Amino acid sequence: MSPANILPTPGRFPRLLLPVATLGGPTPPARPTDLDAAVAVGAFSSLRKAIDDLRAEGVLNALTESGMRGRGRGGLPIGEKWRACARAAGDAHYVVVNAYQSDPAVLTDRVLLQNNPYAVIEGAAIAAFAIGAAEVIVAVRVEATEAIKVLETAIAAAERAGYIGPNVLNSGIEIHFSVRPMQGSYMLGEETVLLKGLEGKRGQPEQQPPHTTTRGLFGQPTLIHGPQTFAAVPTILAGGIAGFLETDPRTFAGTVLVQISGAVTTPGIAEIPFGATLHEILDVAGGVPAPRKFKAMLVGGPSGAILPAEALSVAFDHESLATAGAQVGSGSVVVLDQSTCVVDLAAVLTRFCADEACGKTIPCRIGLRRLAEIGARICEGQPRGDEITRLTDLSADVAASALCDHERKATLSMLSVVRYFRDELDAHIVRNACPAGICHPKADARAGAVS
Amino acid sequence: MSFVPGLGIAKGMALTMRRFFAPKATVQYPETPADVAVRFRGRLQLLYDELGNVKCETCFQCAQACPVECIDMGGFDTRGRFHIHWGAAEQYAERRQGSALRRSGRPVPDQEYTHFGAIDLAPVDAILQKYDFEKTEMLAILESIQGVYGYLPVAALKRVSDVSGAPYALIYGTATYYRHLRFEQAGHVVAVCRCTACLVAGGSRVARTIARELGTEIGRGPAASGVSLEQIPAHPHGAHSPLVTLDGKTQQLSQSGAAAWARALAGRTVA
Amino acid sequence: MRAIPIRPVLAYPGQFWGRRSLVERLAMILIPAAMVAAVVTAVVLYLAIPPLLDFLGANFPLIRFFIAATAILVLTIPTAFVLIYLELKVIARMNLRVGPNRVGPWGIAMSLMPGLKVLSKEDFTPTGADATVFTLAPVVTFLASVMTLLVIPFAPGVVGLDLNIGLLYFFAMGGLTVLGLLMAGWSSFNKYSLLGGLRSAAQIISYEIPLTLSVVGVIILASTKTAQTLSLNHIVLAQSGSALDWFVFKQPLAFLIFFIAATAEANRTPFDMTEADSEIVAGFATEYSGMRFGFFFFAEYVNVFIVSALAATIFFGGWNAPFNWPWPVNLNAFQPLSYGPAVWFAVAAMVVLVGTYFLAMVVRLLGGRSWDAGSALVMGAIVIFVIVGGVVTLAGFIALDWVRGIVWFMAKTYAFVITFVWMRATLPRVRVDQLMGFAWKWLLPASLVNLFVTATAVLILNR
Repeated sequence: MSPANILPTPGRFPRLLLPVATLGGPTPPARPTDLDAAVAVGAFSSLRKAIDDLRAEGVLNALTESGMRGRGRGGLPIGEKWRACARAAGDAHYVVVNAYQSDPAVLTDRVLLQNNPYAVIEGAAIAAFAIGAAEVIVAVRVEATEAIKVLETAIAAAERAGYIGPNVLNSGIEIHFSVRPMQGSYMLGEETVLLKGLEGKRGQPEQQPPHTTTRGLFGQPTLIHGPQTFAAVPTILAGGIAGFLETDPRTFAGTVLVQISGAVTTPGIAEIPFGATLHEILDVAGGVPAPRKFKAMLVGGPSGAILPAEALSVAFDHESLATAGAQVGSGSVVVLDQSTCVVDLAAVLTRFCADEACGKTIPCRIGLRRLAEIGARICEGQPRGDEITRLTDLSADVAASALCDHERKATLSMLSVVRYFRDELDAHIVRNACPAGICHPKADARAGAVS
Repeated sequence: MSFVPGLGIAKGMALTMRRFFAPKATVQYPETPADVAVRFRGRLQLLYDELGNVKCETCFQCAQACPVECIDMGGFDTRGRFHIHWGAAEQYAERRQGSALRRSGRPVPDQEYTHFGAIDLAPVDAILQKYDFEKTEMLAILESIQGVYGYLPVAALKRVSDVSGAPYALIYGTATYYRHLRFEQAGHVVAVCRCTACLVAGGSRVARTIARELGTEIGRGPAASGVSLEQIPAHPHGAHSPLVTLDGKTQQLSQSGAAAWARALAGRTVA
Repeated sequence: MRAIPIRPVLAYPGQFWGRRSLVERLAMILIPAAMVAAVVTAVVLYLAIPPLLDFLGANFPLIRFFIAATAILVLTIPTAFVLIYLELKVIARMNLRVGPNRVGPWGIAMSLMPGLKVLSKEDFTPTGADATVFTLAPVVTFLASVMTLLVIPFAPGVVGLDLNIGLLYFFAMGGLTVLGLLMAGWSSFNKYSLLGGLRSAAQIISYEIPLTLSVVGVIILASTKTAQTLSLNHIVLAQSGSALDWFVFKQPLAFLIFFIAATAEANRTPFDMTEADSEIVAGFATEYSGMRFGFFFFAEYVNVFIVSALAATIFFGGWNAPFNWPWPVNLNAFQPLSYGPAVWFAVAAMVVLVGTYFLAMVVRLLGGRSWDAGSALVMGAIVIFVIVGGVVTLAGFIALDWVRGIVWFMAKTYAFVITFVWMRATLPRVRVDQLMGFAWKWLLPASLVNLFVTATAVLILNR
């Protein structure tokens, strides 16, 4: 594994750790918006190659052969997605870069945009060229002020140099970039909800199929990915498929940015290959510092699962995590020590998901609220007789009837507690005691607290 | 076949004359409600769950979906943030005051509801001009309107609908969905962060304590003290956990100190 | 939640009018108009009354006829409304339904609804239709029906025109309806209308013969008692006495034939397939809409009233009471008109005011606190007027023979009307060929037999 630091400036952000693969070049530029420095290390060469040599069909073939997969929503192969979007009929195609990270604490997309904007721009431009889109919209959080500034500067510079704009690389192709700061809802991280927000409508998800590749923004075929996916595309086209695969023969899926926080020595953002185990991720962050002891790991953000020490050997990719009952999500791993009560955490996370629900479907709107109430009752020492059965049944119903991933994944935290931390759960329910000392079930029950 | 001509007719007419005096089968709805099964789903009313919360989200999607725009809604939204009526015309909405809520059988609780006040609409026209009356820019338009007035006045939203042709349901649906848009002036705002880091650090307990002391809930609008409780959308990098801000300024609170602080805040702002 | 401060909505033109309710608007128009009209009328009357009275005195029979004709024309509309109401409610009750009961008190405003409906519909003439004939056809039909009312005796002395050939006139006018139907069917420029009109005309013509022949028996009977045998007034007079003098007991077969034929004449069930609701094409009236169709509609209901009235007159004694009860009360000493208008006005005012107040208190007592003062007073006024009206009617019934006559006549007529409605609720429809066959093969021979038997009997018994 060749260490190559592409995400610089330690100290200003969460501490950045040694990544294991390259994204856009061996050494990152000192000033991220310096276009000349970026071009010197190979930025926009893939775009030129795509337009001049490969053409749209070649790009699609290259991506399909690479087997590259997306980072969200189950990690589907992006070659097929791009091909479906290119083939779909419509008046205009759109490319949307979904850099709105709904998890409030995770900064991976923002950091990527701040430090390597040209990789994302180039990847999105290649996508626009491949599917025949003239518009690329980058949706970012309005709180990511630094990232927005950097991105806008980079876009302006690229346009001046002719890499994007009305005449891309003198080929007559038009690709316009625009940056849209979004705010106001947790659900905007979901594809169809983001498209609704861009259309100025209420952010409620749509049924898929029809997929966004067929009917997306304004009813036109839309290609929507996260910035990490777009940033990886130039590398695939530049190094050839073989070059990309050589980075890690274990997986064909490439790398992903993971934010490790909580009870670790050096919390920060790491770039890890898909397939690295959770144990390796923990080691990259320096492990749990003594005297604290590892208790559990929250993998996947607010709609993720809480995994115990036994699950540390699970590989960090979509299938393995799904089998373990977790999800990749926005790439957030929070390490918990003995001072955290997992039951309380799961209850609060479910409550958060219930509050953030858009309210379109009844199982989500009412079901998640009921799950949150179950969690609250358990933590406050007033459980009913069959809480666990009701919990599992309700979670199964909610997940089975889900319209969007928010609903599906919101049940993961409580289900993982039932699966892995049964004894702690039983302590709450049966003995009204909290081993971690966070909840006060006896006192709350006596005080008659209601949530 | 009878041998007496006309006997059949006579029998028939005798039957109808008997029927004339027989008790009638008509059920006089709505004075007498029809007898239906317990699980009958055709009731023309809003439903409540067992805690007494009305299930309608007032999300206006039914009104937006209706092709003849015959749905008129009014009432509180489930978070109790505002009370508003929309209709095809101002008089129509006024006539059907408390429409959805009242037909559910509950008395309309809002005694303070008044006809919305008139405001200076020139900024609204300027904003609409700037966005070229584009319905797809509704989010940006609403944010700009909130930037000018500090909240979304109903008169401004009506103006947007009249001028741009966007249906009320679209505007209202968008305005009620995004948390940064509000329908009334914000007083003091206490914001708590519920990201995973803050939750792990005990942020949920702090949030619950503050909610209890202030007498409101996250996103539910101002309490009697005039202080509203909101959620911080993103944890600013470098901020410590758990994060609590008052009007944007970070507060240094411990779990035990949060209750006293919130109580003091509530007491201070009550007039 | 903080209240939003109220600012008054700016006025716009037409705001005052727009915010008035319907009642307020009507009041604002009608009250000033009524005041102006009252003043103008008073002036005109003051100037015009003396010459007018002279003229009236000179031409009394003409004036009387004029008034009678106007009254008949005007009263057909309420009659039609009453009939429509009866049809709705009686058929409903026989179908175990309640019928309209929401629109007005007990649903009486519902019968106004067809009238308003036909008034509000578009009134067009189809392309290619003969416009003059098309427009005149409903007029002819309606007038033919209405003109027959001129000779029907409602009470002793209350008859439009006591023609000595009244019955002949009646059937002649009845035959004019055929003309109207044919005009309608032919001028519509629609082959289905033409066929429908021809079928209706055929039906009516076929049933006119048994109808007329069955009445001839009555004429023969009446000839034994009076000289003017075709005058309806005299036919009624010939049945005076008791109920046993009514011709129905002497001419049962004739009555039966008459009743069946009359049902067919009036296009009622079971003989109504030319204009029934469930028939797809409305026969001769296919191309008619709006008020023109309204005329056909009203003509049909007036026809029902007419044949009922005729049945009551010819066979059931007209305005004769079933028996003469001895009146213990002799009201001849009570001459109301001699007391002068001032006394009457004072008495009426006292009765109304005192009665209203007293009854309002009764209503309040019985109804409890749910009656507020205004509603109780209104209710009291209504009740006192009903009571006074009832008392006056009763007094009239006792004292005045024409009031008695009208009451009995209307009772008998409406009994027949309800019988027609009853038949509509009960009987299925007859096919048109069955209908024609029945008329020619059964009713016509039967009426001839009846005529023969009656004539023979009269000849023998009066020898």
